Amino acid sequence: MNKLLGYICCFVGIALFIHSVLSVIQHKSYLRLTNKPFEHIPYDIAAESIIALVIASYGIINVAPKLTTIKINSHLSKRERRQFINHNLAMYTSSSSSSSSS
Amino acid sequence: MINPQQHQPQAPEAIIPEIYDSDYINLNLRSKNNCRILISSLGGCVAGLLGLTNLWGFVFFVFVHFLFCALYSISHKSLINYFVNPKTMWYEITSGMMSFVLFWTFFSNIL
Repeated sequence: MNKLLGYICCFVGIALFIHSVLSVIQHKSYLRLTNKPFEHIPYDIAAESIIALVIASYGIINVAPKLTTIKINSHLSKRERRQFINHNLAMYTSSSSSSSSS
Repeated sequence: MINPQQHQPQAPEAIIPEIYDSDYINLNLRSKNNCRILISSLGGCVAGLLGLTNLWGFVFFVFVHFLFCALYSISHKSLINYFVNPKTMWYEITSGMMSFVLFWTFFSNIL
């Protein structure tokens, strides 16, 4: 559910950004046709692009893969006993193969 | 023979140390850096669109950096579970600067 919200926010933010880019291009072509000097872009387009940045960054943070806890106690308590045994076996085979090669 | 009056030093209570898993630390850091690079490049696009030049662009980059840190702290409730030092995120200001400058110059040239 949170990820879906993130995708929607990304889509809305990028759409707003593309709309503001097209508005700037249109504004500049209008200025060129009317022979007016370019001073700054209109304030509504600037506000739209900054809002697009905020929405898209919120979406990107929600879309990113979920963080995992770094404390090892929580992982070790969930791990099964079989996995420990396999781990020891792997160590045993690697040491035996190295001794046979030498 | 120990004098019963003498106070014997007691052994300190067993404290379980907090051991961190380096694989998960690296996974979390990579996820955070990917987010930061994407947001910095998008901020560079917006800076180029706004037509910012020399020092104002870097001021805008500082704004983008604090925006990222604030949004990241809001969306993840307890960052202390996921990073060793979550507060260092606020000082790592140069990590997304390259992508920001790249997209800033690109967009200010094509617009």
